[in-house]
Amino acid sequence: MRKQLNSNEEAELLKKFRNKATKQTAFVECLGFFQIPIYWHIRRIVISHADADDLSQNTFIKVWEKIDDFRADSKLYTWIYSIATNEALQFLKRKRQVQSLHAADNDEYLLNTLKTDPYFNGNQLQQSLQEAILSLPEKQRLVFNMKYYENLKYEEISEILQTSVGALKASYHHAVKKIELFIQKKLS
Amino acid sequence: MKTSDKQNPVEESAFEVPEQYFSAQFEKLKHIPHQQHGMTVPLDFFENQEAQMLSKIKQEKKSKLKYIYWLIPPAVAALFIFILYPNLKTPSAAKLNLDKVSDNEIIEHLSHQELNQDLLCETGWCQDIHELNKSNDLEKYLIETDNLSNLIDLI
Repeated sequence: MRKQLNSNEEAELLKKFRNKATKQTAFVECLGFFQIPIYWHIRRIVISHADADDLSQNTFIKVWEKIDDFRADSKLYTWIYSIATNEALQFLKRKRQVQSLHAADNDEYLLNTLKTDPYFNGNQLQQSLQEAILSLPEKQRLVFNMKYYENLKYEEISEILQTSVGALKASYHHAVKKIELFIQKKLS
Repeated sequence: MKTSDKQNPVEESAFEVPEQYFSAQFEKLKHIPHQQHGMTVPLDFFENQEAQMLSKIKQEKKSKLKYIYWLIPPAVAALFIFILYPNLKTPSAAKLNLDKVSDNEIIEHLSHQELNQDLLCETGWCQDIHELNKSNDLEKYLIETDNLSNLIDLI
């Protein structure tokens, strides 16, 4: 289950971050709250464990570097999720550019990554579900993962992805329908 | 069931488990690779990753300090240049000013100036001074010689 920081805990953590003497302690506490969910958030976007490892580390290094600029207009975890999402999406964009892949081919790239990653050992159903998710457009895939696996609220996803709640609900609805169809086709 | 029974899983029913059983299980579970829907991570991955990140931020702190040390020599050099710059600028400024002064003004100035003859002799103007003293005609000498600017530099 996802650990949540209440507003007092978040204020306390930020206070520690802003004091040079306690900044490192705050960073360790921050990792305690967010390291695992952020890793899994990135892993579902990039699929490969090695890439998710690198990108989640980059995310927290950015948190360390940029925390002084964080103005607390949003919640700390939505800010960290935004950094992580950007890191992961930028990574996929760079991969596409390097390998001269079009956006539509990206599914193929991620599908291959899923099949070759030594840290995926899902059963047939889990494999089919992942394939179905990878068949979705990028935005729908993001929304589905954040809603289905990470159990985030639409308001939280809205803050992270800077998209309206209505658009997110529509994306999730379309994603679920497409996944159902994909699985039905696969089973029949 | 009493409230205390609900809180303690060991006393949940008539079945018993060894002492410390649940805490030991929890410790074991902590070391099983985390797994989510078929995706796994290596053993102790999150613990190692945390250590790596902490070492990175410590390195970053040190490298920031290193940059400060690297900045010291150029800063000192810049300070020296800043201090010496007005002095370095002086000769060219004097030359510029000399260009603005007319020959007549220089002649006028020299005719009223006491020259240190010993100093001029040491710097190779002995013959010229001798000639000058002999003729005692400064204006004539200055017209005949083209080394006026060198002489002025010496003064």
